[in-house]
Amino acid sequence: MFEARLASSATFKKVLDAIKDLLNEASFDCSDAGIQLQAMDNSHVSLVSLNLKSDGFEKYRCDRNLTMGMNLASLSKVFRCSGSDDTVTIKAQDDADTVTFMFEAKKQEKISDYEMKLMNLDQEHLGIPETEFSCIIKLPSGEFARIVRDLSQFGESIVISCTKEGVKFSTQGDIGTGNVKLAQTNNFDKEDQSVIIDMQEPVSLTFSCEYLNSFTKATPLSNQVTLSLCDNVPLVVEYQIPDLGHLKYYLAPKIEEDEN
Amino acid sequence: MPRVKASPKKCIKSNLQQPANSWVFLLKGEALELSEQYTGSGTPDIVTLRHPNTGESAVFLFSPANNSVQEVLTFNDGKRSWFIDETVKSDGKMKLSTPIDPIFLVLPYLRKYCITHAVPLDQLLRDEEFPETERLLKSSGLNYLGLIADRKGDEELNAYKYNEEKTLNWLKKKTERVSEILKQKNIHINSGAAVSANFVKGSKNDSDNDSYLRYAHGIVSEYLMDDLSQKLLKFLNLPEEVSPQNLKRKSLATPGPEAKKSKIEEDNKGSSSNVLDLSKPEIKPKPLTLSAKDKARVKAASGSKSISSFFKKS
Repeated sequence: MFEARLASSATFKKVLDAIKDLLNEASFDCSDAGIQLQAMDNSHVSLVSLNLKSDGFEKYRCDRNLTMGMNLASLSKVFRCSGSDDTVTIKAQDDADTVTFMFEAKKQEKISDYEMKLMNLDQEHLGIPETEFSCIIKLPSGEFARIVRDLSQFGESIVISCTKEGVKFSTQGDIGTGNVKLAQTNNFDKEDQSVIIDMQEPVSLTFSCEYLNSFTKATPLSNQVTLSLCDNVPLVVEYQIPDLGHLKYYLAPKIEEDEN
Repeated sequence: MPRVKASPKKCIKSNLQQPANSWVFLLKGEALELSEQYTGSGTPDIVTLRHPNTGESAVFLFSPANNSVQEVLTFNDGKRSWFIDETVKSDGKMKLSTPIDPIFLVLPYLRKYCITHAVPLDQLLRDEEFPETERLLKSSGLNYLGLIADRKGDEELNAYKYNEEKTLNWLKKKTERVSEILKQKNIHINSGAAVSANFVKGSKNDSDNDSYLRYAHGIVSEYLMDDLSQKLLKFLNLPEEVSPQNLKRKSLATPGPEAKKSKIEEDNKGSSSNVLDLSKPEIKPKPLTLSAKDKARVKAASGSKSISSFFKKS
């Protein structure tokens, strides 16, 4: 059987909020190592990869590898029933077609459980090769969300260009253009508030605002976000989930207009 | 005005030894006239292009210098033959040609390839099934392409991106002009009701205006893909309901040209054997459950490669 107990159901709720915008349904692969999820959005332009390490759970038991296909809208309905301080226990039998979520309030004065039907999803798994990225940018996640939100008012896509001087986000649309430049700030006391750029060579790539905006739904998970860029390789937007794992989004770059 | 014809002159192919290959062709004079700069062979060319409504092959006529395009239609009422000099031509069909705005012919290509990206015109008008499409580049009407698309990049590059708002405005003007002509000519559009051809209405009211517009929309739609025709109907603020008389117009209009065309195609076997991909609707009918959000995402995804092309399947 499978049983995983997480001290804070709010964390799982945040993860859910971060992926349900892009995915309607997804398979959670449970193994000894933890819970993994990999899925493409409907348009097959982006990929979501979630990894929750078994160490991060208060209690984790997985006798046999198990894949649980779930409708994310239904799953978030279940989690809406949980209080912010609740702990959650996820339970499933080995060949079950349902999964049970049990929410316990801090002082055990209230226990609720919800059983949800599982789905059979056939999803292809993609092997993601190790890539040497040209630029790795770390910046405060709130800042990134703000930039993407601001710029998406003007255009449909954002050009991210990274040079020695810093990183520039720019867009253009019918009403005009917008540019945001961030210089490297090394604030050693507060690492998660600084902009750190690790550049091998300069790059400039174009991405869809719509998708970047969906990625920033993960902002509550982490104070810092890592963007990894390389020519002809998908952008990786990575949020660390403290003590639990990470959530990565991959997004294919837009093909430049001139090439067409 | 496209529908008003100067007195056409009769143009008969002289090849009477093979009567099966001769056509009776009414041609508007200007297609035969040569501009002064032009020094080529001097005959108009009959070619097949993709018809903007059906996506099937259809016959068009290019003037000698390619600067104007005419649409060729076949009139066939069955029991008819022609006397030509001292011979009888048993095939009583008559071909007619009328000038057509080349923008109508370019429109399907623009809608197919230029929605998200600007494409240079010379690349756009390269159709392997219909190599003659390239000739449209020279037609003078194409100078007005700016009415339905936005030019992007260098002027030299001549690249355009489709603009639906402009297109609908342009089509609206076309439709209004057609409806004006219908009114001027006192064409009776109530084919459902029996009205004497000599009956002249005393006054014209507003509801009349709408039905003229709807009738004109039917005519213009003969040159539009169906989905665009629907959009135009909405844009013209015409109510959705289709009254019987308009149905009649539509049902007369749509199969009509095709039936006529198929005859021409038989004569041009070379191109008619092609199987068409344009006959499929260009925009796949999406399931109705698609939310606005999903639609926005589909749009946002265009212009990107699939993510799976970057990663190996495991």
